[in-house]
Amino acid sequence: MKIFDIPEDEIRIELGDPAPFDGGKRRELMLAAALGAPVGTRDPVDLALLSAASRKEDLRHFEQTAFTPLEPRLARSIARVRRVGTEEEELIARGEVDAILYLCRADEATRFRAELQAEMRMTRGYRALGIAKAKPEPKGNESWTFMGYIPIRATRHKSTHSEEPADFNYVTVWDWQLRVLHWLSVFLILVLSLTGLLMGSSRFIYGVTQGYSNYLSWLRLTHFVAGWFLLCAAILRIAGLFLASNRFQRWYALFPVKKRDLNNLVQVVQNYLFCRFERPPHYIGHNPLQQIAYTAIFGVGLAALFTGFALYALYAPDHWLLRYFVWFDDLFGVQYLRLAHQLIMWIFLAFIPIHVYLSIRADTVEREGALSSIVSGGRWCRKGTKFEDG
Amino acid sequence: MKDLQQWAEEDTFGDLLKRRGVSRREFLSFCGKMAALIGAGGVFAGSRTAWAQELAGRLEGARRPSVVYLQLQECTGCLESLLRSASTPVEELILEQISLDYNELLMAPSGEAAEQALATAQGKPHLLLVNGSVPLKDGGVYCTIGGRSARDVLERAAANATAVVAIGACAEYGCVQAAAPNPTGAVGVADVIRDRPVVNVSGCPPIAETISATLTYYLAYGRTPPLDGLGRPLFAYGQRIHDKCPRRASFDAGQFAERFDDQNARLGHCLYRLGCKGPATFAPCATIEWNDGLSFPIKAGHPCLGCTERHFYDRMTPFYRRLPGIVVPGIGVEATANTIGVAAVAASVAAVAVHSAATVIAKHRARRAEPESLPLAVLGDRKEADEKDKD
Repeated sequence: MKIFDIPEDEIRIELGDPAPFDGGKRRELMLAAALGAPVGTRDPVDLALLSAASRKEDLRHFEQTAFTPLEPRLARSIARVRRVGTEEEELIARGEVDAILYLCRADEATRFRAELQAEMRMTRGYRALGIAKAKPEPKGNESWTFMGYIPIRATRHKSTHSEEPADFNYVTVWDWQLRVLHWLSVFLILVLSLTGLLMGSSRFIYGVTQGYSNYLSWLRLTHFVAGWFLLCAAILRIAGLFLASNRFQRWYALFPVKKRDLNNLVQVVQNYLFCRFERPPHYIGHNPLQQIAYTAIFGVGLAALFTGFALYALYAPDHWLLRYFVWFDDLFGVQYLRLAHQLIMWIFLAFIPIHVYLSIRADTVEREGALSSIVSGGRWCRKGTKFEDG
Repeated sequence: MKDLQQWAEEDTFGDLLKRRGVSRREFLSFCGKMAALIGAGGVFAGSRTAWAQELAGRLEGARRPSVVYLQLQECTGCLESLLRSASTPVEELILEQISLDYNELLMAPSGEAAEQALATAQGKPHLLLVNGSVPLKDGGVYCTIGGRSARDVLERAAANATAVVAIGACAEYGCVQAAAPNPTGAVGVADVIRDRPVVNVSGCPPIAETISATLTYYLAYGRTPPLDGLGRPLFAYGQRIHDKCPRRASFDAGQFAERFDDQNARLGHCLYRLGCKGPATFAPCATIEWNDGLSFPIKAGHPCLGCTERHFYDRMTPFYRRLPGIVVPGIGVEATANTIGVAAVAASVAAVAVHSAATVIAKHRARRAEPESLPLAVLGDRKEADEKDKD
């Protein structure tokens, strides 16, 4: 591992939370760490420290009068700094915590505390940069004060992970018609579930106790109208399966049954179950697991419509359309149809949290843009990524 | 000598009425009642008055039908119901006359004489009425009459029948004895007589007026009335109890009795939540009512059991719950749909919480698994590199 062979733009320096000692301030510690860097340095750690300190202080108020570079045996560098316009100078030492503590002739308690703390906090590859200061004295008998340490980590990152817009393509996935149908169905399913719960449950139902009203009639009317609208939405969606030019919306997209898709399905499932940490294959549209879930929920929705209209058909068995649903009533019995209809509602209500969670997760954790694409219709795809359905 | 009390072969029904001293007024009021009843289902277009007059004309000219009334695997409840329908002299007459040839319960002959009557009657064209189901399992041993299985009796009686009317839920599909597990293999008449349509006068038992109206229609027109998809006369079974229910207003208002003895029950509110099957039941109970229009279950404060619907013993149960329960396999707990639903939603929310926690942990671990820091020049690592270079 040779840091000096790595191009500068691939090195990422991360500074941890500064740990000041003896009641010092983080800001002072950062400032001291930055001032301890040699003038004109190109070292990435120095640059990171300078940049961090300059956010809080104007470094032009300080000037360096002398710099003793890092000496191999002592493992520390010393800078002599003064505030512009003043005569008073200060020495700042930086280096390994051990070396700095030795320099300070710190008492046993401070050393123990500093070393133990640094060791405990230095996880995930961080290392501690110790810092001390002193008033300049002749003959080198300065009395150094240990200021604290700053965790630092340097890692290498490929430039392909940049977040520059130029590295992405915007891909349109869903037509506006599909998005309208999706959100319309969301609204209708929520309305249907709410009115259904109010109509069907003794826990939720509250009519008037005296006099007369049309409370339940209004609920039923809302339910039936929403049901008709959902039927229209379903018909449009089914028509879209065969008429849409968008290949992500056509009927064959509903059935990821190719061998490659089934292999990928296993990988996706493993990834969701935390059995596999490599990224599963990328899809622009839905991955196979997503698609199976959505195809299934389409089926559940159709079952909800069918059972609903079969129950509704009792009101007018001779209706020109409803007469085709009546035979379903005689198949299982009306009561079991009601039961199925209610259970289907609960399938939807249980589906919603999982669906919303996984969509948000796909956007934030997996960065696949599922949530944004059902709103805006498109998503950003990183150039060079291999998409299974690309 | 001609028995003036009897309906002779050459007589019309009008002749019989005159001989028996039934007034024209009584006859016409009966026809009006039947017209109202048959017309109530909205099956016949046009004025009820005109239709009542047509019915009167046709009924007066009706010839005496030969009727065979079989009672197979049943409880006699349907016939009990029918006997109680004799509210008018005309109705009484119709029932008296048509049940003459053969009926186990009402006929005078017994033993050999009864079998002889049946053999004679079924040899000629006749109207066949059937009560009760036909057990098919084990060769039909579960119901035998005169040493012959119910199926055999039925098939012989149906051979020359001009029309077959199945009266009651047993004759329609088997009713209680056909409920799961159906130990006797009971089926309805239509499952045995497959070569012609069977009129199903549904119910357990059917309302008496529905039976007599069906017979009146047959007498007047010589054919069976229009039927619905399940073979039930449309005039009676084309109407849903729920749509004509006297408690419908409280259903629309959302006022429900929760228990049989609560305040809402006393106020006469809707019985839907006590398991009333009115919304799924097609029957004229709410219009004709029972016992000469005295009352019917819902009016009297009892939820409808849905007895005119097929397999009501399997499908409309539990009678006093709005929805069937679900038996959880392995545990045997009966849960309601909402209990299961709430549990499913809670489980999915919990799964989401667990999965997001697992995601956070996995991300954390993945970050911890990142490599150690590269060598840092400010900590003196340059020296090692330089030394290596020197070497």
